[in-house]
Amino acid sequence: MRLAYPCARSYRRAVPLSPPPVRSLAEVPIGTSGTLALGGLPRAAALRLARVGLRVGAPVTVLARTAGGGRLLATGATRIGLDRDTARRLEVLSAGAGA
Amino acid sequence: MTLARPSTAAPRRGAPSCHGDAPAGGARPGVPVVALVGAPNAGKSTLFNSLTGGSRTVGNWPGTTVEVGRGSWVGTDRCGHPAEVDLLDLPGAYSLDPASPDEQFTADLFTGSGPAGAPDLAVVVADAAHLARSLYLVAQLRERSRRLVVALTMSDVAERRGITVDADALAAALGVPVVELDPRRRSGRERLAAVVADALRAPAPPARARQRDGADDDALAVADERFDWVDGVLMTALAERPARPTVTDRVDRWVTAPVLGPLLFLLVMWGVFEATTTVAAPLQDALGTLVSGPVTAAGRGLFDLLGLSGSWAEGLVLDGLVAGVGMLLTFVPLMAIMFALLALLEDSGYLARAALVTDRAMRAVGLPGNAFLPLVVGFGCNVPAISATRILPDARHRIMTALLVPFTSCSARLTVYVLVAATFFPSAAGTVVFGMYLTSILFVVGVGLALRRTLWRTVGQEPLVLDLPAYQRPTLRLTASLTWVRVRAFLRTAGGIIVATVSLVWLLQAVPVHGGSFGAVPPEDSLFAAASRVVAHLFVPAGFGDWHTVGALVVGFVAKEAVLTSWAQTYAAADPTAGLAPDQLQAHVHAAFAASSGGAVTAAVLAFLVFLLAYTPCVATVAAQRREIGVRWAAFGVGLQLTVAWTVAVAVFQVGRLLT
Repeated sequence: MRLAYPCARSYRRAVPLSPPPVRSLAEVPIGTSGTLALGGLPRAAALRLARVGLRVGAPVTVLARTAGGGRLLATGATRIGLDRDTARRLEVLSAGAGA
Repeated sequence: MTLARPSTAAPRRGAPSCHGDAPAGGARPGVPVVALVGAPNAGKSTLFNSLTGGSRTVGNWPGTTVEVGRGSWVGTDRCGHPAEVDLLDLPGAYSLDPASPDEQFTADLFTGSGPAGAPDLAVVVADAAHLARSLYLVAQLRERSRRLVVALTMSDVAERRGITVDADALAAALGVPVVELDPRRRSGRERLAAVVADALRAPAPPARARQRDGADDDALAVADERFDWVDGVLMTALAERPARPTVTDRVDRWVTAPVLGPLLFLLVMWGVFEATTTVAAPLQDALGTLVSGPVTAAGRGLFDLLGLSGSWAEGLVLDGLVAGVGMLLTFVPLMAIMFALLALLEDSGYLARAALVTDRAMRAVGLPGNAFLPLVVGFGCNVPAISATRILPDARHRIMTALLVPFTSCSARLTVYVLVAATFFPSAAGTVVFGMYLTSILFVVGVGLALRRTLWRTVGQEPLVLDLPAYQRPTLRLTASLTWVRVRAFLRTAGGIIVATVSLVWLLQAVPVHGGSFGAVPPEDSLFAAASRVVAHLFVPAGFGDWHTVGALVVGFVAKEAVLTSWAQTYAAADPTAGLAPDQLQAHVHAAFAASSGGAVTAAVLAFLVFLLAYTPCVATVAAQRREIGVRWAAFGVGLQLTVAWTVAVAVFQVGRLLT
């Protein structure tokens, strides 16, 4: 399974020399930007996320913590609200704070 | 040419909703069929209304449309000749791989697995601000030889977010025409008509060949190939600057925050009801005085002139229709103000955030956060709310949500709340009404928890993945249009089912049971009173076992507005010499509660309000439940509502009586 985002985006960051830390979306600080990894999501859930733009390698920024422990994400111009469990199961290769 | 005809393409017509969409008329047979498809919240229904002059409900949230709309669109081709098409407005779908029943119809239509043939042309409505997810559907449709046009919407939102779409480059990359338009401001419609007319004359373009073979059996690999194709298209047609926080992001930080978000939501809803009751009160009083004064007097004068003074016809018209329906019509300003405020919230994009804010409460009862969207619709009208459960992928979640929707307090119940609150709590009417909406939420959570711990102990959790629209400034036209659609439906209910109900109640009140003649019997000696007294025994423990009150509740099973009309006509018939002014009706209602409650008036009133909130909303809701979840679950739902309503009402009265 790849579901990868293309690498030719203008806002892509340079590939770091050492692999960036992989952490759960629910654990990273608000404002963290990075690329998405699907973690332990089932295939059906992965496909559902992909339909709204959340694919492996998609650039994401964690915008806010929501009521109920979920997260508000930005991927490009899209804003996605996730519940707490889904946020915990998704992983982000964080590149730093601020988008 | 394969045509999807009205008799087969549209799903079964639902139960009539009290505030639902106006049915759109279909085009003449033989005209081409064009379908509007696309991801949720891309602007399909707004475009449909703009093209057909229809009045489909629109909203700035995903899942507003769950029914298929149909209408005639007469545009002009490039030569200025009229070009008519039969236009379908389909529920939002990200792809032809359905995740929920509302997406299933679109998938069936285009994959040929449904009962209808495919439309002659599909207009894919694509949101320029979220183009990638809109184009996945184009990738799938292009794998078949179909006529396609892409309608590019929301370019203004995209521009604000630093996204520029080159429509010509996009058309070249997709291999289909692209038309940029703004359905909210009605621009670009003529160009779309010309392009659609051209495309209908041209042969369908050849199907797109997949770039990678051998992956047909792997859904993710196939999806991956389509995403690659979409990305290739975007590389040639889209330029975007690095993402940066927008106004929407800054607002969302507050609006969806863990503590502030829910508090803000409650504050906003309180503001809506407080403003509604405060602003509408003088208008309502003026209308009430008009109906009970000059209108009734003119009617009496007319019957005198006709020599029918004191006849049964005068009783039916003045004590029945004028008193009952007239009293209901005094609520039109109140409904209009509330509908306008809710339309502003919908159009702005705020209500979509409510699902995120209430996710925890939804999960507590075993439902995903997006189950909140049908429940929010239920606060307007329960019938479309039950249809809106189709956005939920899991069948058990759909059944459970459809059983909970009747506990959301629809606007029809608002009319009774306002009358009762103004009668017994005149200085805090808005707060009491708001309290009823909070109680409604408690009912949803409480009954949901009970169902989860009994019938649905093993139901799984669906992830919440909510695509949030950008905030936008509401337009006057859309707000006015949405308000008018709902007010018109309210008037339609008043002019249809309520007139019929009022006539039936008048008939029952005209039949004597202790002697006397037809049409000349005091209400308390009528068949209506006798039947109501039998049922009233059940409500003595709840403190409102008075036949007027219980008779109104029984009639309210048909529609909640009928509670009000039944009260009005019963008390008007008791004193047929004069019209029934609103303050007189309030005095009668007050006296009835004082007599039935044994002195604990407040406890009895609260018990009544709770019963009114929780028992079966209307027959149309039961019909919608039967359609969506089957007759057994619908019957279970009615039993559940009556049991819960009676039990809680009795508990409220008994506890309240001890405290007073």
